[in-house]
Amino acid sequence: MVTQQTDFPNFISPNDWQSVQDLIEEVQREEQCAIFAKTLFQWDLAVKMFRKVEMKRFIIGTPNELDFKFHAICLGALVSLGSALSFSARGFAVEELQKFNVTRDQIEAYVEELKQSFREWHHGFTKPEIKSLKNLIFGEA
Amino acid sequence: MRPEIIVTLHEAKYDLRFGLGKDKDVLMKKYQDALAAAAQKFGVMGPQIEVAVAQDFGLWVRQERLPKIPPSVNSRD
Repeated sequence: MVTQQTDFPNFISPNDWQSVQDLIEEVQREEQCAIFAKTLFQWDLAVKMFRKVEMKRFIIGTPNELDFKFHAICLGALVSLGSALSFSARGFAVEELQKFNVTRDQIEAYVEELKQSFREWHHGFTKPEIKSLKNLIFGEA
Repeated sequence: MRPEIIVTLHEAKYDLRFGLGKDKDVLMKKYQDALAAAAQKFGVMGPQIEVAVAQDFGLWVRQERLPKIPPSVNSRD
């Protein structure tokens, strides 16, 4: 049976379609927020796990060649993901981010902190240059 | 001998690293200020200071007997 246009109730107006579209957009927006929140949460968890291992291997212990390699790989991935999240955060209103207890500034600071770690351990300074800097700061022989 | 300005930098880094995430931007500003002050004192760039004191940070953590893996790292706060 072919539905005739005249079968539609005459109470459906363009305004009704607009309402449906608004609702769909709202659902899509909530879905975007949920995906963003989930990724942010998992990234935060990964950073915390990374810091835990870093503390054990780099701060308390003495890192070996493999530690340096994985440290650089993990940092690179976390900075990359964090930068993407920081960029995505610009698409959300301050109030929307507040729902996740986070601000854009905090995400950016989080990413900057990871970059700071990278600068510390994966730099282009030579051993004599580092020794010279340590002499300057600590007065070492 | 560890200069006081480096102790201040280590303190700022420890707070930044293991402080609660809510104040991360404030703690980052505090760290950057401490780094800039140290760089100015020794007449070098910030990244040079970061590289030179990276290993000393671990030594300072042990000397100060600070929690090696603070509870905040294990939580999802």
